[in-house]
Order: sequence, then structure tokens, then C-alpha cells
Amino acid sequence: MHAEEPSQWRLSKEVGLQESGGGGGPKAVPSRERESTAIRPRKNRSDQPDRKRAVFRGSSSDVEGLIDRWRATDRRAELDIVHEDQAFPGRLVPFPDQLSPELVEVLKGSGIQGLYPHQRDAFDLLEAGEHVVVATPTASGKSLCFHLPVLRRLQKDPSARVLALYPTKALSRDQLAGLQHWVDQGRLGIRSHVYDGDTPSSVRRVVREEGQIIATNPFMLHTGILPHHGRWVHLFRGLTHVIADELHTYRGIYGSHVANVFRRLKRLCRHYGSDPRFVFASATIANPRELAEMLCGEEVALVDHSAAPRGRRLFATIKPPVVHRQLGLRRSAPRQAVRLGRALLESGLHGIFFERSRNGVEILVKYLKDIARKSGLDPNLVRGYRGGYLPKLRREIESGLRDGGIRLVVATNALELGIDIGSLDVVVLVGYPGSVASTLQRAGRAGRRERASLTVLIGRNQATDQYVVQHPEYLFEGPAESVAVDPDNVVIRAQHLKCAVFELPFSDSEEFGGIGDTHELLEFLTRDAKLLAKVEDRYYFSSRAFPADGVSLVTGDIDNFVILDADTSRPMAEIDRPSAMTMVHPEAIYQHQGDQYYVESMDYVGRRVTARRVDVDYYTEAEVEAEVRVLTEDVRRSLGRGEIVFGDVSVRKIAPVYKKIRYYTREVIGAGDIQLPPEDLDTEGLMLVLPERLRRGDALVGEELGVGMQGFADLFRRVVPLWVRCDPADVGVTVEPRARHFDRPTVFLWDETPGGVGLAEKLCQHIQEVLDAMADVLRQCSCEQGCPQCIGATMTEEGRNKAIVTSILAALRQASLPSGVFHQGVSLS
Amino acid sequence: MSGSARDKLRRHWRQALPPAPRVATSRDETTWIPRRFEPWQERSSEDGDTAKEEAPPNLAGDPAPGNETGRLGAPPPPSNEERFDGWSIYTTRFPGDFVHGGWSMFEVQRRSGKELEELADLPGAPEFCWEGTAFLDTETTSLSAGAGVFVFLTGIGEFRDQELVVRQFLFRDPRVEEACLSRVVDELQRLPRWATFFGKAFDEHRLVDRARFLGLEFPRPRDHFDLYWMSRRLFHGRYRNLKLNMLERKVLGFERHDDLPGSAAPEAFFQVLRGEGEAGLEGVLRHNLWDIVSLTSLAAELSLRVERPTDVRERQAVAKAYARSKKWPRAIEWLETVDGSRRHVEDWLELSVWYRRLGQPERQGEVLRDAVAANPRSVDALIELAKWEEHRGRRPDRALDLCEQAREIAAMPISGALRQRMARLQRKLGVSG
Repeated sequence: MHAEEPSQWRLSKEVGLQESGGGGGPKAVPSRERESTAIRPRKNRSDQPDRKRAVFRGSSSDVEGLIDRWRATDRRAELDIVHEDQAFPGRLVPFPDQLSPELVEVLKGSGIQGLYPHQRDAFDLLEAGEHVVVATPTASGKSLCFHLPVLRRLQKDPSARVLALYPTKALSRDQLAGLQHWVDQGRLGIRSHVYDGDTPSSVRRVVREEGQIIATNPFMLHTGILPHHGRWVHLFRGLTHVIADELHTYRGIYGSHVANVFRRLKRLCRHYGSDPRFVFASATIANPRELAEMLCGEEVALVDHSAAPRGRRLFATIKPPVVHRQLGLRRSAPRQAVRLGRALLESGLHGIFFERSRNGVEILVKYLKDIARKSGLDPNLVRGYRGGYLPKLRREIESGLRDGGIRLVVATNALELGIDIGSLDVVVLVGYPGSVASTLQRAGRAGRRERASLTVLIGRNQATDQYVVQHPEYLFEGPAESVAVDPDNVVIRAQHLKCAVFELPFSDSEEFGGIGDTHELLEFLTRDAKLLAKVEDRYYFSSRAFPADGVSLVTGDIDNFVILDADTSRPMAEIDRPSAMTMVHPEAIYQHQGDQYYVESMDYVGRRVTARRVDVDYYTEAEVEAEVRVLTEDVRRSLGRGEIVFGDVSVRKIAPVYKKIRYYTREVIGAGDIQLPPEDLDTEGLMLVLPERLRRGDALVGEELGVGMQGFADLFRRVVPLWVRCDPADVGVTVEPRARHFDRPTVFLWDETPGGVGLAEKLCQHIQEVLDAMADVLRQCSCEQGCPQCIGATMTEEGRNKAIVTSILAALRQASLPSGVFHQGVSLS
Repeated sequence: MSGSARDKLRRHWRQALPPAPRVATSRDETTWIPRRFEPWQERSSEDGDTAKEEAPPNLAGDPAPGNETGRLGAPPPPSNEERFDGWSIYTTRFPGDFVHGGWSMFEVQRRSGKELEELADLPGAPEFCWEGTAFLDTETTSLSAGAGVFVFLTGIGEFRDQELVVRQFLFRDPRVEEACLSRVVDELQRLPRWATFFGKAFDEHRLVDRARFLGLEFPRPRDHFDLYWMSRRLFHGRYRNLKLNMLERKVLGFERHDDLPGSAAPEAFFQVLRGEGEAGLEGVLRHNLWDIVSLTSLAAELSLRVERPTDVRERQAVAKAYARSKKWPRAIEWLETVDGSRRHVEDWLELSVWYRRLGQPERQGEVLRDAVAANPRSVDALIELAKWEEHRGRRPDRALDLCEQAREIAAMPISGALRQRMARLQRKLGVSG
């Protein structure tokens, strides 16, 4: 229906540019304005507007018009359409016979005349008692894949219960609203509730006793439901389905924790006599089935062929024009984004800009609002969306996007997940998001509803970005990233075993994952940690502490500052403690929805920040420095011609100074000290100490050494997660060309979980394999000088990075080197 | 692979261990404060330190803090143990002349206890009576909730034939928990009225959770007199905290010696589980026993204080308790006995509200005028009097005058309500703003 809305180009009186009235939905432009003369956008090198094509049906030309016009206004930037998905009409199969007539009626009433084959497959597999993972693109009707089997089951058996897990609170509310829609439409009499930290205690009892569909998140399941299963008898007795949406977010250490939470859940289900089916939904990753199986410990059937209709989709890259020929610098990506934003605002299309940082979001919002103001448009057509905004503001923005009242939104990855924000025409990626999966997920935000859409990737002044922009096939031809988890990590498993014993005494013969070593873990918890007591053949929890409190599913603790508006004393946003150091230190300019707030005071202990609205032409920026101190050397041995050291380290992250930066010109107009406590992390680390000379007689110094080590570290960081089965964010890596502790060039890697969960140690044991794997990656990569697929980012002037990294690797690997590693010799004088 | 997982854990566990349990000297400190409020809680307890701790005189006897022979009375009579497989019932009979906290058990029962009904603020029409009330206290393995928390000791005191009979149900082996708890359930089925200390938020929930876990039908109390909340109504802000041992010291006038702190109880039970002996249980049983006997003395003391408040603050508190149950004349009667110079602004304003509820608007106006006279710089008093003058007194000029006084005094920007009121009054008077 939306797609059929006529799109009209017209001459804008205010700015003399063309604007579309239709893209924003029927309400975006008053009808009086819509009647104004419509003209076709000025095409590249075309002088006369063609009136015949002025009014056209279907919006597929909208984005093309935008491209044409944009090319005309910014000739220096290169915009290339690098990929195109043709429109696909979709294929339908009949509803399964098992669906009740009422349910079919509701579906038909909503314009659904049949199911897409993948929806039908998922339905049939679940009916046959399989565990299922649905991994189809965004907007392919994934939700219906699990809504239908669940609704059918609940209609048939009112005592059945469904647990739906979403990674965030916002998503649970959003998705449950979608499900409730079917329930209400069909008067199916099914009760669905959200149960999370925001659920008022007055309704919790009702939810526990009457809720048939409980939407929650893994954190609440871990601390609020499993340990209190006695209050959830109805849920555990009747549990038929466990839905886990956004499967790809359960990765690394977090995913390993969630897998163990599922072990506990299954254990309680067995106790209460239920045996639920797991249903996962995942974005594009390389290994959805493997991930799902590792998470739930069962065989899972994969549904990954989408036959949902989709509009034509264009993917374009923009190489911003070179502005400094000697340095080869290009126009900055945000500035390029602003130009695109101007064109978008004028076109009336709806779009989303993805920025990498929260600060980046706010700066771009300000720029775009300035443009809107200058063009005589309401600046509130542009909004920001990021972590830290209070839920009410988020809901407001989401609904503004759905009903078309907001035309442009600038977001961090907070909008990457499946929150329903309706149909968008254009997605602008301000910089490469860092992974193929993330890029495709964000691109999926455009054209959700059967019309042509456009995704534009703007390359930043960074090697990775420039590489992707030069080689877009990297996004569409190579495999997406694999997601790794390690449910059998001994430390994580022991922590959850402790919780499991609290929930239900553990018998001697029971297993809890692993490879038959559960007994050892129990003995450890009993004799060493003194947390359990054994009476005859059963283990009982014997500590006063609430066990789930001591087990955090994510690295680090959740500790937020509240930001108060000094004028109203009302909370306006929240910020996590580590980010507070750089974003809300005293004298910082905190940016909120494009407005500036001056941080007047910060109560570090009370976790409160007071900021006053000001109108200044600058913002502030601070960078975090990490310094690693080696506390113990538990293992120290030679590694090739270098050394490997494993031990306890203390990582201190500190933001020493901040800079005041003027908007637009980006000139630094001042600086100041930040006097805040550093973030200390005591954990385990692995150090690779390089030899002084990488090849006989050659000493790398200065820039080459630094850049070479950086390249080595980038490759290391990429390969390590595959070996220790964690997420790249679970480990930290830094390099020091001359580390104080060793007085030699050193690569540091540490476990980001406080205390460590054994990642560094595992790596220490397998360092040879990891180095071999790194050499393999280098050898197999067809690039000459290094690329994001191997050593990434920075380049030396002579472009010899790959050779330098190769020689570092060679120095660390044992004597015999496979041939081919030195395909580019290093000659250093 | 043998030994490797455990070795690995030995190396890695040190920092992965849960944070040490917070120092808890008694459960009432740690249970009801949500974790996220801790920083504020710490601050407020610091403030509490500076608050005056004036001990009201004890009417029931001569206050002699620390003189436990005078106030605590004799050591408890010997208990009788009924031993079953893995669990026991201990019965202790306190005769009528047994003195605890300045109250003999006879004296306790001689009070009607009806005053407690006012202080309890319970829904419906609760009836208090010594007979048929379970004075209940439990000992658990943790202060938190959850399936792994055992209620390993439940003590129930009951007045029977002039005596206080305390029955303590203790299990040592988790496998016989159900047998033991079902006896507790039987006992409580007979006694639908409970008196506890912080039991509404703790003991009741723990018992219900356990019963549900074991599949037992648990009898929820019909009326639950929680002496913590009742004490709070009477003594709020007077002492550093309102834990039972603080009330024993300040209100009942004695201190327990060689008492096992409540926080040590779980460890005693864990020792039994680990097969390290039952030595610690004796202390837990005695602690629980004293808690229950203290409940009876405290209940008697509270009922006496409601009948005869000992000082101004108690009179204010008693007045508010009557107001809560909408007994306006009683409430007014008590607050009027407080000398005007010792009344706070809030007292005046509350009194004025009670007169209004009682249907005496003229007296309400008088009280408000007195309030303003006694507190000429109180914005609240000025505004309340302005309201009265506008709506009851029908004197908008005086009301506006009072509003203007309030506006001058208010340091902060004035509220929207005041601004509106002033605008309305100006309209009524035909004055341009």
C-alpha cells in the first residue's frame, strides 16, 4: 500500500530545489503542497527538466532520482552502484492444515494470503518436533516463522508456555507487540507479557502465573527466573518453545554464558517434565546452524532460503573526493554524509545514517539539523538514536520513524537489531561497520517493504574502508564472518554449575556439558571454592551469596551514570562508566539530539552528572590509552627467536586529556586535563616479546616497526577468536615498540573479562597453531601490500607492510618455515 | 585430562569468585534495600549517626541499659527435644513469671494489645489477641531469595495457659526438609495470625517459596503484624537503625550477651552439611529463641506506647497512626496535646487537614493561621492558608497577599500551581499581573 503512493517531484519554493512529497508517506506533505507543479529531477548533464515524467507511479525511481541529482550536485565524489538485487515477487504456498480457521482468518484479514516457503518449512519442522534456526535476510518474515507454530500450540493447549528471549528490553516490547497483534486481531485469548527489570512488581505475580508467552532477556532468565523457578511452576511445567531472536548477538564470552544459561533452563525443564523446542532467528552469519547447536546443545534444522518478495535493492559506494593531493587525504566521511543528507532532506525520502560512535551520531545530527533549519524545514525531521537515550525518547523516535514524522535518523548499531522502524528508502553507512554481517544487517534496514531502496557506503580515510570501497566484491562474494562461542569454557561452565546447584541439588551422576569432567568441576566447587556441600550422593549449595549475582553474562559490570539536565534536574540520558570517562567528564560538551550540554559537575561516587544546555560552536573529544603492567610471569619460554610470556596483568585505561573541536572546521581550539579515576582491569595476559632484530643484521626502528607491529596485531586479533572461540571484543590487543617490562618490542593480548576466563592461557598453549594460521592467511591472501582481509589498516609509505608482518611472524615461528612466506623479502638497511 | 579441569579452575577462579558477601550484622539491614540504592543507603545511615538518639523512658520498668539481669530476666528454661530422622522439634516453655525486657509473660498477656491494631495499618479489620498469635522467626541460609535458600529453622511462639510455648523446627539434612516443613505448615494452619519482625518482606516469602518448591499447600497468615513496620511508625528517625537488637537496647532497655549474630546462622548450617559437626546449631537455636521472646515483649511495649506515648515525638507518631485509620478525633486529640512551640510545620498542616476531614473548616482556618504565625517563613503554610482564604474564607485579597509573601520567600522558581493560583486570584480581584 505504501509502495503505491504516488511520488511527486516538485519545485521547492524555499530553496529552489526539488522535493518529493510521497516518499514520506501520505502525511509527510500537506495535500495543498502536493498539487504544486511537479518536475522531474535534474539528471546528470541534462539541462531541461522533462515534464512528461514529472509524475510517476511507484517509488522505484525515488532512489534513482536521488542518485542522479546527487551526482549532479556533487560531481567530485565518485558514487558507484556496485551491487544490485533485482526485485523478486515472492512465492507463496498454502497455509498448513493444522492452523485453526480463526488464525487463518486473522492472517487473511491482514493481507497474508499464504506463507512463504521458508515460513512453511519452519512451521513443518517445528510441528515435527525439530529444533529450528531461521537465517533469512532482514524483512523476510522471520517472526511469522515462529509466531504461527507458537500461536497454534497455545490455541490447542492453553496450559502450554512459551519463553521468548530478545537481546534487549526494547526489542522484547517491540516484538511482543507484533505477536500480540495477531492475538488481539483473532481474539485468540492468549496472554503475552514482558518480564524484565522494568516490569512493575505489582504485575509480576500475574505474569508468572498467567502469562502464556513470556518475553524476556538472557539476563533476566539468568538472575530473575531460573533461580526462582519455584515461582514459575506454570512456565516450567508447560514450556513448549524457547524462542531466541537475534541469534548472532550471542557470540563470544556472552554467547558462552548464554549456552550455559540454556543448560540450566533445560535441566529445570527436565525436572518439571517439559522438553521445549528451541527456535532461533539469525541475521546473516556464516554458521547459524553450528552456533544454534552449540547454544542449545541439540541438533538444529536450518531454514535459510528466503522466498519473500523484495524490492529492487541497490548498493552503492562513495569515494569522497581527494582534498589533499600530497597526503592523499579524502573529504571526511561525515562531511560527505552531510552532503548526502542535504540531498535526502530535499528529496523527501526517508533514510538512516549509521555512525560508528555515539559522538559521531550527535555531530552528524547537529549538522543535518543545521541544514534542515537553513532549508526552512523542521529540524525535528532529523533525530539521533543511540544507546544511553532514555526508553521514552527511544519509543518516540521509533514511532516517528514508523509513521513518517521523522525523515532522517542517525544511529549507532543500536538500530541494527530488529526494532520495527518501518520502511526506509536509503541507508547510509558512514564508514565500513567493521564486518560483513553488520554491513548487510544494516543495509537490510532499507527497502523492507517491496520497493526500490539504496544503501550507500561512504569510505573513510582508512585503509580498511578504502579497501572495501575499492573491492566491494569483498562484501558480496566472500563468506560472512563466523560467530564463535565456547560453552565448555571451564571457568564459565563452573560458574553456571554453581548456579545450577543452587537451583536444584546436583546428583553425582548428572552431567553439565563438557567432556565428562562435570564431576571434577563439582569437586572443585565443593573442596576448593567451598560453595557446595556434598551429602551422600548429592551436592547442595552452601553459601550465603546469591550465586547469579557473582556471574555476569557480559564482560565487565553494568554500571551507569545518570545525566541530569541542570535546568530541570530531570534525568535525560544514561551512560556506561567506561564511556563516562571520555564523554561526560567535567567541562565536556555532552551532545544529545544534536544539542550541546556543558558538563557542570560529576559525582563519580553517586554516578550522577549534571549538564546544562549551552549554545557553543565546539564539541569535545577524548581518547583512551591502555597501558599494560605485567604482574606475574607464570610461563616464560622462547618462541622462535622471541619469547612468549603468560601471566597476570593489570590493564589501565585512562583518558588523560580532552580536546575542544570546532564544528565544521574541525580545528582544535583548546584542550584540558581529565581528572578521573582510571578504569583498571586485573586479568590474564599473553605477551609476545619480539627479538631486537627481525632478520639477521636487520633492526626495525621507528615508523616501520610501529606500523609493522600494528599490522601483526590486527592479524593476530582477527585470528585469535577463531582459535579460542571468542568474540574479537572479548580480548584486547595493544603493541609497544619498546615495552618497559621487557625492554623490547612487545605485543600484548589480554582477556577483557575481569580475572580472565582462560583465553590467554589457551592461546599460550596453542600459539604455534595460531602463528601458523596467521602465516596461512598471509600466504593465501592475494594482495601484494596488505589488505583488510589480512593485516588491515595502516600502511607504511613504501607499502611494505605485508613483508614486515611476514618477517615478524617468521621470527616468532620455529625454525622451519613453509616456503612461500617470504615471497616478498624484507631488505632493511 | 584427569585433574586438568580442576587445576585450571584453581588457577582461574581467584578473581572469578563472587564478591565476598556484604558484611551483614543482622538480616534486617540487608534485605529490604534494593542493591542499586546502596550508595544512598550508606549516606543516609551516616546521617543517622548524627541524629540524636534519645532513649524514651521505659514505662514498664526502670531503664537500666546493660543490666540484663533486671531486664532480660533469667536464662531460658531448658528445652525439650523431640528427635526424628534428620530433624528435631525443640519445645521451650516460658512460665508467666518469666521476665524479658522488663516484661513478665503475665504482664504481656495482661495488656489487651488492641492498640497494635492501630499501629499495624492492616487491610480489613485486624483483630489482635495474644492467644492464637504465632510469634514467628526463621533462620535461613541466605538473605536473598531463590530456590537454593533453605529455611532450616522455624521458631513459633504461642501463648497457651498463661505460658509462652516456643516450638522450634530444625532440620539438619536437606533430604528431610519436607517432613520438617510440613509440621510447620500444620502448626501455622492453627495460627492464622502472625507477629514477626520484618516478616512481611522476609520470613513469609521464604516459607511460601520453600513450601511451593516442595509442593506443600502453605497457609498465608490472615493478619500479619510486622513489628518492624510498627516500630518504624513510632520511632522513625530516632535511632541509627531499627534492628531488633537496637530496639531491645533503646526501647526494652537490655542487651544480649554472647548472642550469635544472625548472620552467622547460615554458616552453622553449612558446617552440618559439610559434616563438620553440629556445634554451631546450639547458638542458632538460642538466638532464634530470644528473637521470639523479644517479639512478645516488644509487642507489649508498643501497645503501651500507643496507649501512653512517652514524649512529643511519640505523641505525634500515635496521632498519625490514628489518622491513618481515619480516626480523626483521636488523631487530633493526640496532636493537640503537643505544645504548639514543639510542632513542626507538617504537624500544623496535617492537623488542619484532619479538622477539614472532621468537617470543621473554621477550626482548620484557625490552625492554619496559627501555623503561619508560628512559621512565618514557611511557603507551604502560606500557600495552604492562601487556599483556605480563597475557597473557605472567600477573601481573595488576603489569599493573593499570602501568595505574594510565599513568592518572595521561595528561593527557587515558583511552581506552576502557585503561578496559576496567583493569576486566578488576580483575575478575581481584577488586578492586572
